This record gives sequence, structure tokens and C-alpha cells, in this order.
Amino acid sequence: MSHLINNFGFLFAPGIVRYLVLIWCTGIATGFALLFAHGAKPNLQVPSANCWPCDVEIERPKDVSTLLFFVHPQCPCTFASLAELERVVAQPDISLQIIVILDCPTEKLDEWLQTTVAKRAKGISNARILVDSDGQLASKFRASVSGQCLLYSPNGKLVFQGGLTASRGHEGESFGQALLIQMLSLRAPTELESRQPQEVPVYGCELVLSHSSSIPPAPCCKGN
Amino acid sequence: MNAPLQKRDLVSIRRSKIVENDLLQSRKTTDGYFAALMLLQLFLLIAEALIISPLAWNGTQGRVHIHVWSALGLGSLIGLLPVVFALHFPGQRLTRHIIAGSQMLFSALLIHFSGGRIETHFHIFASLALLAFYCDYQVLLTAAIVISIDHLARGYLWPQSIYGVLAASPWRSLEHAAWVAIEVAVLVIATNSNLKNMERIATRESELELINLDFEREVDAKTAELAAANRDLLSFNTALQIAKDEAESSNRSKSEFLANMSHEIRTPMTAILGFTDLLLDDRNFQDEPEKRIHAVQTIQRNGSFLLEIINDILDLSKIESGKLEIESVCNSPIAAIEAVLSVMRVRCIEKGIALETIFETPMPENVLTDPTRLRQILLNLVGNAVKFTEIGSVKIVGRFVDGEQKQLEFDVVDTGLGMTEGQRLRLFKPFTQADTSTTRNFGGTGLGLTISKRLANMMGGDVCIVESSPGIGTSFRATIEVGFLNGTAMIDPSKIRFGEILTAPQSMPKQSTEALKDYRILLAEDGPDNQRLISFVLKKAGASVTVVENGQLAVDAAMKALEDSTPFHLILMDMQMPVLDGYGATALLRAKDYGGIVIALTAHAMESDRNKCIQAGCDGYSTKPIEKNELFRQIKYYCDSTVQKLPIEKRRCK
Repeated sequence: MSHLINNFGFLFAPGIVRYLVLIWCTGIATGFALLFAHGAKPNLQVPSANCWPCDVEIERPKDVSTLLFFVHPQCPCTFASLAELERVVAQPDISLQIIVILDCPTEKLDEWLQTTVAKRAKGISNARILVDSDGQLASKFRASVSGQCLLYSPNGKLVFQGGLTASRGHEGESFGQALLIQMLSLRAPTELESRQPQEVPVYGCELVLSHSSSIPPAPCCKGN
Repeated sequence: MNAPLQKRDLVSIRRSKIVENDLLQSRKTTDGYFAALMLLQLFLLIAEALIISPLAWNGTQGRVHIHVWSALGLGSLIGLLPVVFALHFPGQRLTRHIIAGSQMLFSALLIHFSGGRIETHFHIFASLALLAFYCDYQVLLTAAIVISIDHLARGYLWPQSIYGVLAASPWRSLEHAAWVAIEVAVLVIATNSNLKNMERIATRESELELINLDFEREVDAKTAELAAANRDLLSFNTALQIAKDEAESSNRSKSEFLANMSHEIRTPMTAILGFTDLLLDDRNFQDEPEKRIHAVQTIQRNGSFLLEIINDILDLSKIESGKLEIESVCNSPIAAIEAVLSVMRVRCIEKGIALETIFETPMPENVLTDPTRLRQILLNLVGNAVKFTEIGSVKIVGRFVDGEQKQLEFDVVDTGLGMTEGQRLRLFKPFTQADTSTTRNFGGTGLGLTISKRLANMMGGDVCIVESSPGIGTSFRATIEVGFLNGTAMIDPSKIRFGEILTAPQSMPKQSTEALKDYRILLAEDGPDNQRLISFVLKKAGASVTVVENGQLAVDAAMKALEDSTPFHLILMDMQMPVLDGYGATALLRAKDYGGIVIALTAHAMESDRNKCIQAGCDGYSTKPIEKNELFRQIKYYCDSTVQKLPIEKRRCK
């Protein structure tokens, strides 16, 4: 024991060196804490459209659920979300329409559609890619964060909204992903719709929106 | 008390030092590498943040992503302190522990930035491997502790950032920790192995150093020995040079001596040969008796001087060659002075100067010394004093010094010429007199004082000048050590009497034509001139002389005369003759039981020559050139009927 104390005696080094080392350790601990805190802090979400909006010109199948995945092409955190989306898509026995919406400003459309994130998004298998100029679609669905998923039942009811990562920019299992997979595994649409809509945090950049999120959502499309 | 260190201890101490130094150097180098690595990692981290997540977006508004700020802020915080420590405190324990912690924090940050990608965990293993360069298992422990804390904390609070799953099993953390522990264990083993290798190398190095040290010491010792030998050699060379100089000086002295001797011999020889030529060739000398007598006297005087020179040279030669023996016999010091007075008195009377003797202390009746050499010293000193004194007196002051050493001390004080300081300094050198005119005016060989001084030295004393002043006189002092005889009488100075000899001149020996009357003498001599001279002298003294020219004839003649009942009273035997020399002839005679007197007659004047003659069987010994009166005295002594009857060994003339 005394040997160990002697060996690590530098921890009790006198004078300025001791304080310097202590300050250094404290600074590093603080830095890591801030970093972790930021990583674990979700974005504020506004309530999304509970039903499929009528003024959206997106064809929605009547027999399968539709998953909308909003992407900010410049957001590095979304890279992890896309990876998790791929894992979801890769699940067997899932019937689903996947629509990846690339939210871009009109004036920078070409530039933004060439980013790594955009390219990765375009690579999602069986996904339909839509470009959302100036966030018009996002606004209509009241989506606000990149990486946000909205799952609508075949009847147009919002059954899930949230992110697929457990923290900012970190791949891996998450509660949202697990919940989404579970819901998609339900065979009967009625069973899906009978559940309460689920909401989980989203970690990502804020999307480009055409109008303020405080505007009330568009009315549900009765035809659905 | 400290015991001397054994070789093993020295190796151990040195090995520790070497390992310590090597480790320090290695750790300083590793610190440097890590400092560079830290900067590189920081740069890559920032680059990664800028490439992957440069901006965070709020709609169309982009702002710098927190990862970029983290890379800049947190990355710098993690990376720069180790760089500062590596630059300012290289090799120190704290530095490498900070580096270990930083490296692990970099791993944590990298893992976080990569979103928990499992590939980024390899950074930990690579970092641990790099930290093994420190060869310090504690550093590995520090790194392991830091990364373990990170994993445990994040595994508990935010497992996705580490494992990529929402809820990691505790076993997952354990598994990660186990892998880290395994690598740390492997690295610790490798580190220890590396340390042991270093110690082995250091042991060899220290042993080599010790051997080198011993070798250097040996070289130093040998060098010192060589230096000492060199010094000895130089010293020897110096001694040799001194000896050479002395030898050369001696050689020069010898040459000088020979030159002086040649000069001293040639001077009287010139007079002898010159006047002899005149006597032979110049009619005036033949017709005028006065001139002839004067010439003959000159020849005699120079001949005597020549003999004196030869005797002095022989004495000096004997002294210098160490062949002169000093006797120690019982004799009277007063008698020695009496003998000197008896010789010098006549000359003093002739010159009209007084010769006085004073004894300041009671004198022992007898002492142990060499009377002949004592007499020689005194004769020389008194003779010089008389020679250089024209007016006044010569005084002999005797005293007996009864101290720790018994000494006889004689001052010879004259009122003669005296000497300057420079003359005094040259005085005791051979062939040197006060000045060059001295020889011309007063004669003398210049050897007397040298011989006297050497003799006195050999007798434990000295001869020195007490004082001398030009025109006033000189005082010499002769000191000799004597053996004091217990019970010998001390004679009061007032009671010392020299009888008549001090006042009455000794009568000159009369030339008697009948001194050797009726003596039958056999003269064995090969030189015709000496045959004529000696036989003439002997016959003139009344002897009947038979002359033979070699030893064999002498033996034959002696034995025949013995057979004819007319034996010779005495045989004068030259020792160097053809056919049979004197030694052989005498020995042959003694072998034939010839009991007659045999007196050796030889030009060899050394003491050893005298002994050789006696050993051959001679009764007496007389040197050439013959001194007529002395020869007559010896002949008369031996021809005395009393002596003739004595056994050979008891009839030797003193």
C-alpha cells in the first residue's frame, strides 16, 4: 500500500504543480460534462400534425403505413439518424412507405442536395426522396428537427413521432428506434391505430421552415 | 566502520546508475515523442471536427458545431499541459503520468466524437502500447485507471457514447476493462522484461567499465612506474654525466699531474745531464777543479731533488691508490719531534734562525700511532717553515688533546714570508706552491703539503693553516688522532728534555775507508754501471766484493763460497735480473738452507715491493739509488756477529 502511495505521490505534489494539475483535471471534467450534456439534450419539439394534412400533395397508400423522415442536409447529427433509419428499414416483414424529405432553402437547393448527409439519405433503400423547398412540407407536418420521424397509419393517423438516436449524433440502439420497430411489426392497422400516439425526443438540427411553428396545423384530410 | 566495497557491490551500484540514466534518457525521449503526438492528435481532432461536424444548423443559419469548440477547447486542455510538462519537466514521473492520463482522455474524446464507433477504441490499445515505451508499469496503471473511470462513468450514464447501445450490460464494461487489463498485463510483462534486459546490458557495461577502470589504473600504475624509471634513468644519466665529468676532470688532473711531474723531473734532469755533458766535453771543467766540484755538487743536488720528487710522487700515488698503510704501534711523540729536530736543526743553524719547541700540555710518554708518517708530516711542515724563513724563528708547539678523541696537535709557527689569501687557497693542491716563483727561489716539489694533509687525514686528523700574513709569517697546524695507552705516563712540559741534540750540531758521519773492512760481500747486479758504482763504493769502504750478473750465478757463488768455508758476510741482491731474478735466487738459497744475510737492492720503492722481498727470504731492503751511509749502516748491522747468529726472522733491521 505504501508502495502505491509513494508511486502516486505526485497527486499530492506541493505548490503550484498540485494546483495546476487539479485545475487541469477539473477543467477536463467540466469540458466532458458540458460535451455530454449537449449530446444528451434533445431539441424542443412542437406537436406534429396528428393526421395527414389535406393540402399535402403526397400520395399515401391505403394499405400500409407511411414513414416521413425529415432531413436537414447540412446537419452532421442526422448522419447517425439515417444510419438508424437504415436499420429500421432493414427489419424483415415490414410493409411501409418511406419518404425521406430533404429540407432545403430554395436558393441553395443544388448545394444542399450534394452534401454527404443528402447523399446518404438518397441511399436509403426503398425510400422515396422528396425535396422540400423552404420547408413547406415540414411546416405542413409541423416537423421541426432534422432526423424527426413521423409514422402515419394507413388511415392517416399519426402514431409515432420522434428521433431514432438516443443522443446527438450517436448511432446505436435507442428507445425511439425500438418503439418504431415494435409498432411497425404490428400486422393489423386497427391495432396500430388503437394505440396512443407515441412521442420520443429528437436530436438534430432545426429544419428550414416556411412559416412559424406557432401557426395551427392544416386540417386533416377527411378523405383519408 | 565502512567495509571496503566488493566488486559485486560496485557493479551493482554502477548498474543501478546506468539503468537510471538510460531510463531517464529514454523517458525524456518518449516525453518528446508524446509531446509531438499530443500536438498531432490535437490537430487531427480539430480537423476531424471541422470535417465531420463543422457547423450546427438552425434552419438556414449555421453556427460552429460544439464538436469544433470541444476539439479546440477541451482538446487543447487535454493536449497542451502534457506538452508543457514534456518540455519543462522531461523525464519526471509527474510528466509521464499526466501524459498517460491525457492520452486516455484523447481516446475518450475521440470515441465520443466518433459517436462511440468501436474502431476508435483501438486508440486506447495503441496508446497503451506507446506508453509502454516509458518502461514504467505505474504509467500503464494510471492510463488504465483513467480509461476505466471514463468507461465506467459513461457506461453507467451514457452507454451509447461508449458501446453504441442504449443499455449496455455491466458485463460489457467488464469485458472492456478485461481487454484493457490484459493489454496492460502484457505490456507490464514486456516492460519488466525490457527492464531486465536493460539491467543485463547495464551489468555488462558496468563490468566492462570496472575492467576498464582496473586496466586504466594498471596503465596509470605502469605509467607511474615508467615515469619513475624514467626519472631514475635521468637521475642515473645525470650521475653518469657527473661521473663522466669527474672522470674527465680526473683525467685532466692526471694529465696535468703528469705534465707537472714531467716538468718537475725534467728540470733537475736538465741540470744533471747538462753538467754531465760539460764535465765530459768541456776542457775547462776538466782543468779547473773548482768548476768541476761545483758541477758535481749541482749534479748531486739535482739528483737528490729528483729522488725527493720521485719519493713524493710515490707517496702520493700510494695514498691515492689506497695502498698506503698506516701503522698503529707504540711510540713516543716526543721522540718523533726529537727526530725532526735532529734533522732540521742543522739547516736552522745554517740559516741563522732559531728552532724552538714548546709543549703547552703534559705529553703522553707513548701513544699508538704511525711514527714514520708522523715524522714525515712534521718534517714537511718544519722543513717548509725553515725553507721560507730567513729571519726570526721556527717554533713547534705541541699539545695533547685529551677529549673524547685523543689527539696530538702540533702548530708549526714561522716568521717567514707568509701568504696571501689566494696563495693559501692553492696551497694544498699537488704541484702547487704559493706562486710560480717559489719553486724557482726555494725549490721543492709542491707535493709535501698535499702528502702531509692526506697522511693526517688518514690518521684521523688534518693539516691546515691557522693563520698567515704576508711578511709576518705562517702558522700551520697538524692534528692526528692517536690511541691512548692506559697507564702511560704523562710527562710535564717542564720536564721534557731533548738532551744535546737541540743545541749541539750533530757531527757529520765520517767517510771511513775502513767502514766495511774485511767484509766479504757478493753483489748480484745485472747493470754494469751499478755494478761499477756499488762495487766501487763498497771496495772503497774496505769490503771484498764479488760481482755476479744474475741470480743463478749469485746462488752458485754463494753456495760455492759456503762449501769453500769462506762464506760471504752478506749478499746484495738486485731483484730484477736476467736468467734468475732476485726473488727466485733468494728463495732458491733459502731452499738450500742458506742462512746468510741477503739484502734486497731494488728500484721498486713501494711498501708492497718491500713485503715481496721479505717474503722471498731477504733480510733487509734498500732502494736505488743507493744512499751510501744508509747502505753502510745496514751492512754493518747485518754483518755484526750477533745478528748473524740470529734466526732469519729475528735479525731484520728496524
